[in-house]
Formats: sequence, C-alpha cells, structure tokens
Amino acid sequence: MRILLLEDDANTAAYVLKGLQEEGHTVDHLSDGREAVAQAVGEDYDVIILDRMLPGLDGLAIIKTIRSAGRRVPVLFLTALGGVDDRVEGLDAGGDDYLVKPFAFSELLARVNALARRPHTKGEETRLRVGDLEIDLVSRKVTRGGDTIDLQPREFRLLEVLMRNRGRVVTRTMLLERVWSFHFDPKTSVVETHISRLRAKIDKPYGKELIHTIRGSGYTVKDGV
Amino acid sequence: MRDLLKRTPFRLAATFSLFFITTVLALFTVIYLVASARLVSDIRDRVRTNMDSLAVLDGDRTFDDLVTVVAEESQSVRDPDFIVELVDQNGKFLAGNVRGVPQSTHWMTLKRSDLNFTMDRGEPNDEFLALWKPLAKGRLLVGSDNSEVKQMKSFLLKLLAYGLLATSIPVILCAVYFARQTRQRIDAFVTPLAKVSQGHVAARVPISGLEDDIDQVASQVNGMLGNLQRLIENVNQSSSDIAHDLKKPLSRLRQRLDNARRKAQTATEFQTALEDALLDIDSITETFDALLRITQIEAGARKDRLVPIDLRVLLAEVHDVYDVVAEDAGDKLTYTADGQSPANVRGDPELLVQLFANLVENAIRHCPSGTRIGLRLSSSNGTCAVAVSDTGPGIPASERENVFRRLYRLERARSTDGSGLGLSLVSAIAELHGAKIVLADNGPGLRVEVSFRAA
Repeated sequence: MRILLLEDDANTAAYVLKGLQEEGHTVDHLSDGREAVAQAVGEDYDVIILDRMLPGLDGLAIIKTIRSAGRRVPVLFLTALGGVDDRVEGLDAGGDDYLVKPFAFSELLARVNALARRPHTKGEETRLRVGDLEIDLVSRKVTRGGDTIDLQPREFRLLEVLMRNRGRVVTRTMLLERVWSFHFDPKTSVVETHISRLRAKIDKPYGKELIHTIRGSGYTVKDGV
Repeated sequence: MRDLLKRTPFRLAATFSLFFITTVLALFTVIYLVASARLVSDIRDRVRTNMDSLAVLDGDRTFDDLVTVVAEESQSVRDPDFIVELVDQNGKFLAGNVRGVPQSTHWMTLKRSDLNFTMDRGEPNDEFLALWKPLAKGRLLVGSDNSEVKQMKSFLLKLLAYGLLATSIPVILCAVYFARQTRQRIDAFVTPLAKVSQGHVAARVPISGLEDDIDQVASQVNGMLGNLQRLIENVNQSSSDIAHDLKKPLSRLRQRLDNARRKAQTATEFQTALEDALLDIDSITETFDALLRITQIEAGARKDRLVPIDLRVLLAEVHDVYDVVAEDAGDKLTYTADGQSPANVRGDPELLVQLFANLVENAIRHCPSGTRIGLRLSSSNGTCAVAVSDTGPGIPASERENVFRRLYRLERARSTDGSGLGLSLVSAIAELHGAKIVLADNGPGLRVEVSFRAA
C-alpha cells in the first residue's frame, strides 16, 4: 500500500514509519501541514495517517481541504487528545478512523489495513465467504458447510464485522467500537466472552477453526493458517 | 456621608423620598393654579355685576343721578372692599372713593397704597382688581379687592408646608428603615464573601428564611460556593491521589523490568516481561485517559451534543452485551422495564452506555459468583429512573459519599485491579445529564439509582 504519514513528532513518526515499512508498505512522511495538503491532493495514496495537531495547519483543516478537493482517500487520525469530543470532531471533518496516542503498533496496523480499499470490489458485497462459512448481509443468514446456523442479532453483528475484514486482523478496540459502539475500555472480558459464544456456534461443531486469536492484536477470520 | 451615598439601599431611599416630595409639590401647584384662577374669575364677575348695575344709569337724563349714586356709595363705607371712580369725557373726576386711576382697557391689579383714596383706613397691602368701562358721557372704574385670593394662597401654602412635613417624615423614616434593613442583609453577604476571597471556601452567606429575592441570591451563592469547595477539594485531593496512585503501578513496572534484567535468561522470559510491562503501561495510560475524560465531561463541553434517547432501548443493549459476561462470571443479569412506552431522555448515547456499563461491570467485578444483578427501568411523573442492583456485599453507608471521589477505592477492592475512577466517571456523566444518583442498601447488596428528567 502507498501510505502518506503526516506527523511532526519525530519519535512517533520514526516508530510508525519503520513499522509500516517492515510490513511492506511504501510510506511518505511529511511534517508540515501545507506541504501535506499539496502532496495528499496531488498524489494517489491508499491511506493517509494524519496527526491531529500539526505545525502550519490543523489536522481538521487539512482533511477538510483534501475532501473539498474531491479526494476520497481514507484518513486515519492520530492524536494525543483523548477526549470524546476530539474523536467526534475528527470524524465530522471527514476522517474515517481515529486512534489515540499512545497506541500499540498492532492497533495502528489493523486499522490501516481495515481502511484500505479492497482492490477488486465492485459495489457493496452482500455475501461474504471464508472457507465453507458464508453470511448473507441482506437476509442475515449464516451457513457453514451447508448447515444454517442460528445466530442472535448481537452474534451476527460481531460475525459481520469480522467477515467484512476477513483475512485481516480486527483488534479488540475495533470490535468494541464497531459491534457495540463502546468508546471506552470495559473492565470485564466483553469481547472475549462474545467471541467464545460465537466460536461455540461457528467453529466448535465443525472441528476447523475459522476465527483465530492473534495474540497481542485481536482476531481474524480466515481459512487456513 | 459620602460612603452612605455610595450604598445602593440609601441611594434608593433618597431617590424614593425625593420622588415623593416632587410629586406632592406638583400636585399642590396644580391645585393652587386651578383654585386661584377660579377665585379671580369670581371677583371679575362680581366687578362686572357691580359695574353693570351702575351703568344702567348711563344716559343723557340719568347721568347726574349716576354721579350722585357713585358719590353716595363712596361715602357710605370708610373701609371699602371695592373702589369706584367716575370721570367725564375729559378725564375730570366727578365722583368716587379713589381718584386719578390711570386709564386702561384691560383688567388692572392695583395696590391700595398706590391709590389716591378720598377717604380710607384700609390695610395698605390690599390689592384691587379693577376695570374701566367707557360710558356715554365719561368713564366708570369699578374694582373689588382680591384679599380672598391672598387668603387662599396663604392657606394653601400652610397646607402644603404641614402636609409635606406630615407625609415626608414617615416616608423618609420608612425609606431609611428599609434601606438599613437591606443594607444589613447585604452586609451579611460581605463578611463571608470576603472570607472566601481570602481562601476560606467553607464560608456561607446567611439565609433569612424570608424566601425573597435576596434569599434566592443567597442560596445561589451558597450553591456556587458549595460547588467551588467541592471542585477545590477535588483538585487538591486528585493531585495527591494521582501522584500516589501512579507511583504504585510505576513501581510495579520498575520491579518487573528490574527482575527481567537481573533474572531473565531466555528470549521467552524477556518477551513475557516486556508484554507484562506493556500491560502495566496501558493501565497507567488508561487511568490518565479516564481522568482526562472526567475532566472533559465535568467541563460540560458535551452538553450541546445531547439528543433524545430511549433508555428502554439503550438498557436493552447494555443487557445484551453483559448478560453473557455475567453468566460466565457465574452471575445472573436481568433487565426489567415497567410499562411499554418509550422512556425518552436527552442524553449522550455514548456516555450513557458507559455509565450503565460501568455500574453493571462494578457489580460483576466486585461481587462474588452467584450474585443476582438487576437492571430496572421505571418512569413516573416526568422522571425516568434506572436502578442497577446486586446481591453482593454492598457499600457501608459511611462510605457511600466517598466512592464517587476520584481514585477512591474501598479497602476490600484494593486487591482487584481498577483505577478508582469508575464511579467518579459515572457521577460526572450523571451530572452532565442533570441526573440524580443515589446509592442505597439493596438488603443485601447495593442499589444504584440514577434518575433522569424525562424529555
């Protein structure tokens, strides 16, 4: 993927840059807001990682400019501000996702991967498939190996988020946000509990795991290892 | 005196008295003008009547009779309250009790001392209202004294003086009394407020119990001082608590890293130590985030983001998330809602979910396995009340206030991990929504009641 990183803090920039390059991505790094706008509008990126506070131009102003120039490129905000308002403002301005510093690199990576557009999707998919597991987003039907699996709405929602990101890692925090709209860290094992309930229906009876735990990162749905 | 004039109650009293006196004066002026105009016109009528009765004799044959009548009338009284002068066409005096009155076609006001009386012993300051009337063979002057006008003037002036005195004194006394009263009540504000500015935030202004506007201000001021005191205490307490609280995980982190450096042999051991260290750091970060969040919520910036929310639906979602979590912990979470109608309140959905999630998680984490946890929604009289109850160990009554304090943790909760910020956050969110929160005994266990104003 081609990624533009706008970050003025040298330490964070080096940490992210190195990590993303090791993952095989091409990363351009800038630290000035004005230059960044020109670069973001002039070049074709898959994802832009944008610090909320940059010298020269505010992160919100940058994204507004990029959007008004007609660029639909996904934008991930990074910020030291942990407040609820900051997230809402960022998303309102046209950001697609939001990550508060300090963050684990695996969290950043998972979110960048989730943001990147799939190269060959034509329109919205309504049937998602991994191995012999298939879910229909319209009829809300789940089948595995020909069997219809009866899921509760909350279980379906969890599976849907995982399936939409099939083959990619979805972190615990991403699940909390997307499945339950929890923008805080629960003190009980909410995610683990629901995942284990889902596994009991999806994986256990079939002997072959499709929902995998990625230690220290999150979960992924994929066929094979 | 200068100081006195700067006081609002005295200025009000002075203004009021001045206004009252001005009104009385204006009223008297009007009475005076109307009454004297009336009297003057009465006198003029009298003069005209008199003149007309004499003018009857005006004629070639009767003119000599007129002269005789005028001469007789003039002599009949020695202290006349009227004057009369008859002159011929050349202005020569024919008869009358005055002579030489200057000619005029208008009403004249003549002073007795200025008149040339043929015989008189009257009061020299008397005035006469007089008019000339042209006759066929000469001119006739008739005048009447206007002492009635003067009497009335002096009467009215006396009335004004006594009346003003009699009314102004009570008015001024009254004004001063109320001014002093008000001043004393305002002064009662100054002392405690001065104490507050010197840093004694516990001072309160007195409330008289009259429930008037000053009492309203007083209770607002006291409410404000209460808030201020709580905030200051929070800040003071928080700073030391934060320092304390962060030292603990930091020293744990340090020990962990120190241990790894000294004892770890294999890559796996190092790996484990590092991962544990990261978890420690995450929990420290989380404490900071929670503190920031509480501060932000308390600042009230999100108040404009409140939208209509159906608590019935929101609680069903919370139940949906946590019933399996409770089940795995060996507990049972139930949700009951009274009635069928939506329980609409104005709220921030994200924060309200966090509020109830927090309360349910507290019950799951701090109660032994087998606890029954209840989520109950009831609406009545414009209030939507949510009760989160458990059958666990509860919180002693003496501790119930404390648990809302930041970083406060019950003795028995110190072994479980947690920041001591959960209930502070709950209380901050409730406050943002104008909701009341009460901790009660569930006999056994704890019941947390959060009541919202229905939207």
